[in-house]
Formats: sequence, structure tokens, C-alpha cells
Amino acid sequence: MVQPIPLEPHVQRKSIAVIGNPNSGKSTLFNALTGLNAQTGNFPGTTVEGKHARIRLDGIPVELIDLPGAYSLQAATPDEQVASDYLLGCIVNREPPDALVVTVDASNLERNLFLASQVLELGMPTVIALTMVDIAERHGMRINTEKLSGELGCPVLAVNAKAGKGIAEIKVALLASIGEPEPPPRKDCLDLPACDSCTSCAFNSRFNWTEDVTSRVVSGEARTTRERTDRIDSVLTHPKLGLLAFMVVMLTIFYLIFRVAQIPMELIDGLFGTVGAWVEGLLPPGDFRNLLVQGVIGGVGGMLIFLPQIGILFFFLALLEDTGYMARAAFVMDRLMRRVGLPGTAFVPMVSAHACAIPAIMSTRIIGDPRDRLLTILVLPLMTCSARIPVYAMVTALLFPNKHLLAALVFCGAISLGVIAALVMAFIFRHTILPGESKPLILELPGYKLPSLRNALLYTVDRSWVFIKQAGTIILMISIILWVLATYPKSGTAPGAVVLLEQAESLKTSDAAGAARLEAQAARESHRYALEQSMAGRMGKCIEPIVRPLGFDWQIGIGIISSFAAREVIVSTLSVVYGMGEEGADEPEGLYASMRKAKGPDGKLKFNTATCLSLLVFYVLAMQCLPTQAVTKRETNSWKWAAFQLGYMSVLAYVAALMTYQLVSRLG
Amino acid sequence: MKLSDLHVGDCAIIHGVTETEDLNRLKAMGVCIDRRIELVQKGDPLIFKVFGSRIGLSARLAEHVEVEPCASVSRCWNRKGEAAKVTVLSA
Repeated sequence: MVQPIPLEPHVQRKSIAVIGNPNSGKSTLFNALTGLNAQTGNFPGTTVEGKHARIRLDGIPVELIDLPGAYSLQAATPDEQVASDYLLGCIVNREPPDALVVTVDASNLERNLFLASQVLELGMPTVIALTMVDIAERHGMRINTEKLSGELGCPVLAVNAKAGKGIAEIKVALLASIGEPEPPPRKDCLDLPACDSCTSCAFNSRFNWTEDVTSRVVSGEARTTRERTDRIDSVLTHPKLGLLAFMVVMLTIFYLIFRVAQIPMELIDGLFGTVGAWVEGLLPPGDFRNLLVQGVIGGVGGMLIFLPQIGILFFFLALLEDTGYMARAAFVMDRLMRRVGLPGTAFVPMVSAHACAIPAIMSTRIIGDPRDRLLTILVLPLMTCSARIPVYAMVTALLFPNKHLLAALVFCGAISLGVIAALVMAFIFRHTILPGESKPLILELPGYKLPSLRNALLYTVDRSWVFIKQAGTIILMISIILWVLATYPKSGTAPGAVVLLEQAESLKTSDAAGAARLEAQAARESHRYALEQSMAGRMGKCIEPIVRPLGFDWQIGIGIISSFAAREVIVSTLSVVYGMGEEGADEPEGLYASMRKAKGPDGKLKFNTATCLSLLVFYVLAMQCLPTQAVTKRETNSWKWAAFQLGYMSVLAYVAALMTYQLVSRLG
Repeated sequence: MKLSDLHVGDCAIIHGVTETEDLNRLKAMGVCIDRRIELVQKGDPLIFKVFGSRIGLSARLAEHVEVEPCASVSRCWNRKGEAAKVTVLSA
């Protein structure tokens, strides 16, 4: 399902790649050139992501490719490897591009020209886009672009992508560069060894060259660079204040996620309810109608309900990244995270996973090292995502009705358990399957700047699409499968319902309201009976011996099976199982009351403290989210890791719930 | 001496970087022989400036960076363009 960057040889379509240092304004330029046309995909055979778009330059169709950020073509990270392979034509079936745009940060010419010079040596038609000229000027540097162009032997154009300046000029220059039948004779500005023979000395002489060029093209007296950034950093990268600031930033984002997302979530819920009711009225009763309403419409609604939270999360992450703050967050968390073998960059995904593991796993792309990334992905689903909240709410309400403080404590305990489990598992994996230390931190802390709303919105739209395509299709599929499991084989009329309907019939003339009540009760009873007799019901009974030591019966078993579409489904399933109908989940007090009263065959209360705690622990730790598994597969490029994740989390959940139940029930 | 031994605000010239698997990562960001750097924040990780950028670096890697503090202020500047400013300040 992952769309690779298209491989077809470009017969009619010329291709142009955009390359540059991280934080050099590459994505902003790419967005300015393409807008909403861009599509995201993985580079063939890698988990490195890039964007590509088809645009027209003066009517000529061109494919534009956004390469991952790189400091050097002599690759030291997977991102750099892809960028360098791509330019050198080492990616299978993929011709090198016909022309290149290199973004060069004007406020940091000495370092940015390093990559630019390596790229120029390849001899391809190249245009240099000089970014952040306004920042350089604020630092008192004036850059002579003509002179720089002469030094480098290629066009150099100043751009301000945010303000739309220089974009038209870049397009004209690109059009000229792809129009050239032969690459032009290159001015031999560099007399350095070829890249594959790089030694420390080659690095050194190349940097000497970039410094020389810089001193020749920059005029004006440089003022102390980035005073403002220094002042802000004295707080944000401070070992203690920085941590505090980070907590405040994250809490604010989470408050906004849960607060702001409320409105669109209720709208979506209402909309799908209305559509479901409308379809229900349109079609004759029967399996097809139920499939459409419960399986398809319910499934799509159940997936889209999470979209507002995910979208808002991505939007804020993009804004923070754009300001330059994300690097600081990784910086201050690095030392703490390293103790369990995770890099500092893993912390933001770990916080995001408290909304939903799917966007969190998608955002692990900021972690450079593939092994560090894998480790982070493996433990992310242990965080309490919003789908677990209804389950926690149910269990705490069962445990402590009307004792809000105790309920809140259990709630916090469950969330902490997830975090602790993730850190412990990371530590264990570091000492077993992924031995060694996490890659030591080398992280550029870019100067602070105002974020681009346009970039953040484009990023949000793009990520949301990936979510809908990846998770949505799976959620839809599972909800249809679950619908089938819960519907077939058909059972006869429920014996209990027959009795109720007879009573209703006899009351009809004397007490119409009472009769209606009995009829509704009969409908819920047949619903309950149908579920009990269905495949899902039988599976629940089948797994009862396995879950019995955890204090669960077959009814909770059905709930657990149905949770594989999404965890919160257990609440509505239990509602059906306990004869409250699906509507019971909307008014949970009634459901909780009947669950509290429910007794097992031995006459004891079913939801005693031990069972409740065991259920809670199970839901904190179990991997009951197939959409997450699909995303894990996408991001690790193998089902193996997705299967491993499912396996270890299931074992962990089972063992922990077993211990909880046995311990608590023995203590009384 | 080592990069991690510098004081905040100290300027130094890199003398060499000892072998580590992250050598190329360091060098591509400008941590390479003869570059001028300035320590911005001590600790683990620490922050230094090289060219126009600030870089966070784990103390473990900072151990690999051999530096020579600049003898006089006038010889040491973070970037070539800043020479004038530094001289004025010291005068």
C-alpha cells in the first residue's frame, strides 16, 4: 500500500531534484514550486520518505522530487544515502535527474556550500536557490549573488519562498537548464579529490574553499550571529528550565488536541449517526442494511473520528518543527532518554503516542538512526492512546463508583504503567535484540524563526491522507469482518425474547407504554442472544479457558476479540452482551450498573476488584490495534517487526494481567 | 585539550577528530580539522557553534574532538566576517 516514488523512466517528462542541507528551506521551496500537487512516497527499497510532484514549467511537464536533507554526499545517515544514491543514479531502475536545485542557506554559506560544491562536481545542470537572505542581511551580511554565481559556475538566485519572491526566476532558470541538450562546460571551480576518496584532508580543503568563497562574496560587517536565538536558548536548552518549558509546550498541545478536537469529533459522530439512520430508513431491514449501517458506515465513522486529533497533532508538530523548537526538545530530553537506550528525538513521538500510536509511529522519521527508530516504534503502542480512555473510564467507574479521587488515581496509574512499560521494554530490547547504545546526539539547532502556516497545513493534509489510506482501509476491513463474525451464523429467535414479546402482546390494550418497554427489552435480548450464538460469541467461549486465569469470562472474551478493530469497541460490545443494546454505550451509567450487578455461574460478582484491575492492566499493555500494525509494517518495511510487536505485547499483557488477577484475588 | 574541557564562550581551533563511527557525521557538519568553534553551553549534551550554526553534541562524542584554545582573541573568531567585531571588542 505504500506508494513508491514512481519508477517509470521519464521518456517525455524531465525530472528535477531539490537537494539541500536540513533546515535550509528546502521543503518551503518545494512547496512553493508545487503546492497541493505533491505526493508522499518511500524511495524504492527504503523507509526514507520523499515527495514528488508533476508540475508544468511554461507548459512543459516536469517531475519535481524533494530529496531528503543532507549535509554531504558522502552519506553518514540513511537520508543522505538516498539523496546521494539518487543523484548518482545508483537507485535501481531510476535515472538520475535531468537538473538540480540546491538550496543554500545564505546565513550559513560556509557549511551549505560544502554540499553544493559536491553536487556541482557531478556536472549536472544545477541552479542554486539562495535562501534566508533576509536573515543573513539582518546579521549584517550582504551577499553578491552574481559573484557567487561566477565562483560556482552556475546560476544563483535569491529566493524567499514564503513571500513568493524569486520563485518565477527559479522556474525560468530550471526551464533553461532542462532545455540544454548537453550539460554546459562547467567552470572548474574545484580541484578536489572525487567524493569516494574523501579523507579528513578532503573535508578540510573543501571547507577551506567554502570559507574562501564566502569571504569573497560576502560584504558588510557581520554582527554577532543569532543574538535572539541565544537569548531564547538560554531558557529552552537550559538543563532544568528547558525541561520545564518542554513540559509546558507539550501540555498545551495536548490540551488543544483534546479540547479543539472535541468539536469536529462530535460533528463527525453526529454526521455518521445521521447518515446511518438515513440509510436505515431507505433500505428494507435485513443483513445488507445492517452490513452497510454497522459495518461500513460505522467503520468509516469509527476511523474518521480520530482524524481531528491526528490532524491537530500533526499541525502543531509541523509548526514546532518549523520554528526550530523540535531540535531543542530532542536536545533537552536526550540525556534522560539515553538512560533506557532511546535517543532524545524519540521523546516527541512518545508524547504524541498519548493521542494515537499511528501518527506517533509516522513521526519517528525525525530519528536518524534506523535501529533507534525501530526500537522507538516497537515500544510506542504501549502509551495510553485516546482509544484506551473509554476503557479506562469504564473500569474505573466499575471499581470506584462515585469516588472520583480514587478513580483519577487509578486512571493516572494506568497511564504511568504504559510509560513505565515502554521504558522498561526499550531497556530490555537494548540489551537483547537491538544491542548497543543509541546513536550519540549530533543535532543542528537551527535559528528560531516564525513558522509557515502554509507548510504546516500542507504537512497536515499530507499526513492525514497517509492515515486515511493506511489505517482507514484496514479499519474498514476489520469492521466488516467483525460485523460478519458477530452476525453469523444466524440463530433462531431468542427464547427470552419470545416470552417478553408475549407479555408485551397481552399488555398492549391496557398499558401501551409498558408494552413498548417490554418490546424494546425483547429487541435487546434478541441482540444479546444473536451475539452469543454468533461466531464471535463462540470464539469468546473458545478462548474462555485461556482468559479464565486472568479473571475474564467468555463475555469479556468477545469484548477483547472485538477490540481488534479499535479498543474502545469493547464498551459497546459489553453493552450488547449485557443486554443493554448498542445504545447502552452512549449512556454508560446504566451499563455500569448492570455490569456491577452481573454475577457469574458461581453466584459471585463478575466485576470484582481483581477482574477489573486485571482487565485494566490487559488493556494498557495489549496490542489490540491492527491499524497500528499496518503502520508499523509501513515504517519498518517488514511484517516481521509488526508481528514481533503483536507477539511481545500480547505476552506482556497476558502475564501482567495474570499476575494482577492472581495477586489481587489472593489478597482479597 | 578536548572540546568538552572548554569553558562557555571559549573559542578554539579544531586540531583533530579521533576515530569514531560518527566521524563522517561530525565532519559533514563542519567539525573537522582547522575549523574555529565556540562553546555555547556545557554539559551532556553540550552546544557549540561552528560556522553560522549551533550544534548539540553528546559529551561522549565531544571527547573525540581535540581542540586548541585560541591564544589571542584577535586570532579567534567564529567566522571570517566576525574578525572585525572581535577586534573592536578587545580594544
